[in-house]
Amino acid sequence: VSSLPSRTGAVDVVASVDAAAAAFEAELSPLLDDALRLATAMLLNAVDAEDAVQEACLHAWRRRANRRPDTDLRPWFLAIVANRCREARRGRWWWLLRVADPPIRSGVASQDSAAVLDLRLALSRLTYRRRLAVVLRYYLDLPYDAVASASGCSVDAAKALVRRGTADLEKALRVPEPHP
Amino acid sequence: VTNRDDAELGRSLHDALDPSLPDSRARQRVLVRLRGAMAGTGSRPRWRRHPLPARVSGMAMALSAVVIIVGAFGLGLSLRSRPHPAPIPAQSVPPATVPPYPSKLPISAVPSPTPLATPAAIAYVSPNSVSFVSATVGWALGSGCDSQNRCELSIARTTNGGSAWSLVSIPPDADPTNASLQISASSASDAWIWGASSTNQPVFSATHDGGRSWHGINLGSAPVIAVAIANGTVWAKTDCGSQSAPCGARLLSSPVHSDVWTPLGPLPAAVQGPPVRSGTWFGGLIRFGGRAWIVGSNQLPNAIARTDDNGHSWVSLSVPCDYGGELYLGASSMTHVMLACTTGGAIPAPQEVFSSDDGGSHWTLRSREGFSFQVTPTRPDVGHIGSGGFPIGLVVVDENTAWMTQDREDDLVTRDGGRTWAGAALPQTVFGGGGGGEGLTFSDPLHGWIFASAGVWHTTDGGLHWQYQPVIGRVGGYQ
Repeated sequence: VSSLPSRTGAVDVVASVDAAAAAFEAELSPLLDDALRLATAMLLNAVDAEDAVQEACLHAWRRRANRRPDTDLRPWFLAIVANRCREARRGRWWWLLRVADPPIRSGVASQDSAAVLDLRLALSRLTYRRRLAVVLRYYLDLPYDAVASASGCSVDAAKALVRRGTADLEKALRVPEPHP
Repeated sequence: VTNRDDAELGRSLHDALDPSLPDSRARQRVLVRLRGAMAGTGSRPRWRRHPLPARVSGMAMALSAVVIIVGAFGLGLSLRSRPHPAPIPAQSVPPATVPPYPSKLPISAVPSPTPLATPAAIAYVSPNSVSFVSATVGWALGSGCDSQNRCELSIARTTNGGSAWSLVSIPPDADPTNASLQISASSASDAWIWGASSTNQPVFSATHDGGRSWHGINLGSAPVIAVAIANGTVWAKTDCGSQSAPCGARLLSSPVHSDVWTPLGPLPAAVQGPPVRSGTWFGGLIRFGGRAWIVGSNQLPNAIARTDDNGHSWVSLSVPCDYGGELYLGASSMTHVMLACTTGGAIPAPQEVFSSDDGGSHWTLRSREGFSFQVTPTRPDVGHIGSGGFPIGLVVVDENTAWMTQDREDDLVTRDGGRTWAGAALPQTVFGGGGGGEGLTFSDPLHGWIFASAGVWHTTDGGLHWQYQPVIGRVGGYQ
């Protein structure tokens, strides 16, 4: 019977943890705002979003050896955040311990609250991959190649996901024609 | 949104989502917790996923009040002293047992670390490595923490399949703050811990009395990066660690009940050298009876070598993976072997699974995904893997069943020899949304264990159902 050694221990063989931690934090810190925005858009809940980003940070730290050398941290990290959000939605606690969303802060709320609620509802009904692509493209303003990297797909596939996602949003938000 | 252009959609999303963003201090909170996690084993971030219902908080307050009152009456609710056996004096470390290699014990050169706040009574062990010998006997190594989350290296042992665990001693010269070591066991009496200290010094110690005492083993200056036990012997593979100079991987063997280490035959060059990702060595060392496989994912093209004579001679096997940057090998017998390959990098990563019925001499592709657009030339999908991540381990239970631990994805299981894979019914949600375990082991097709930092789970029905088995106690910080 063999046991699988965990990677976390093996990674620590290499370098000074302190120096690595400082470098990691310096590289990660500028990405946290985008990570929180992505997680909020995916989970539609501030508490869950913060948890997801927290877990993603820890996971990224523990799995930092998995990152390809000399590659941009942003798409790699955002992909981890997205996966954490997916896992959170699939998780049992999502259903058992769901708490009410925090109240919308005054001053930043849309004037058209009905439209805002409709858009949030429509967004929540998108499939995971389409929602991720739409959020990355239009909420985080990422170019398609970054959307593709963070989504784990080709650029063409990312464009298709965005196109289908926006079409789904349009369909969900379309005001029905009044009957004559 | 209908008929709006891209900019309008962006503005609408900001209007809809910005009000729900976490407050302005969230970023700082995340960083503070991350620093705690990066600082060491004793400071894993412990955040509550959701505010508990008020009634639970009320119960906690009531319980706290009871504790205070009882304490005031001197009824002894203070923490017990740590129940570990008394430390073994340093002079009990035996001399080196491998004459051809440096006689200085590397462990003794490790400067004394500044320990974290010493935990009192160990309330739980958050495992970093688990080794099960049989359906009943297992060992776990990890961070043992008290109720105040003060943690240190701890080792626990079970003799009833994980239903109950007992703490054993830790090596007297072990760094108590370094719980990133690995443990491998061959029985309830014999176990080895291995890895590197926080200062990158080799750590390799053995017990032959069930953890009552440990002694250091000197295999030279390079750390042990793999241990495999079969056929009454334990093998240890050492590698270069962080050394930049070229060095050779070495494989040494000892009877399980003693520590008489002798070098085995030279390994093929293809499995020598430093690993691709410094310190991380993929694929591992797999043994079954007198046969063993060793996987090299080093600076050279990946390679697999096999011995049929207990390590005295090795032959290189063909590697069927076209793009495999990382190889994971598993064996259920001396003949049935499976191999998972992945390129890493982008996710979901291109990955393939092969099987062999002749010990790896010939391979058959069972499943493939992600090669249809991410690589050139492209390859069509075969079977079904359905991974959103990439493999980090492969455990082959029998000719039909294998488990593939995955990063950024649920662990996967096949029950048709690798042709189709399905998300395993593992309790991934309690891993903090981690999507799977750190490690998986089966003592037979029915009895298996998976572990993560949140604890150990056990199955007695081949993975259909899993039951949480707290090591000493339920790990704090997880619901």
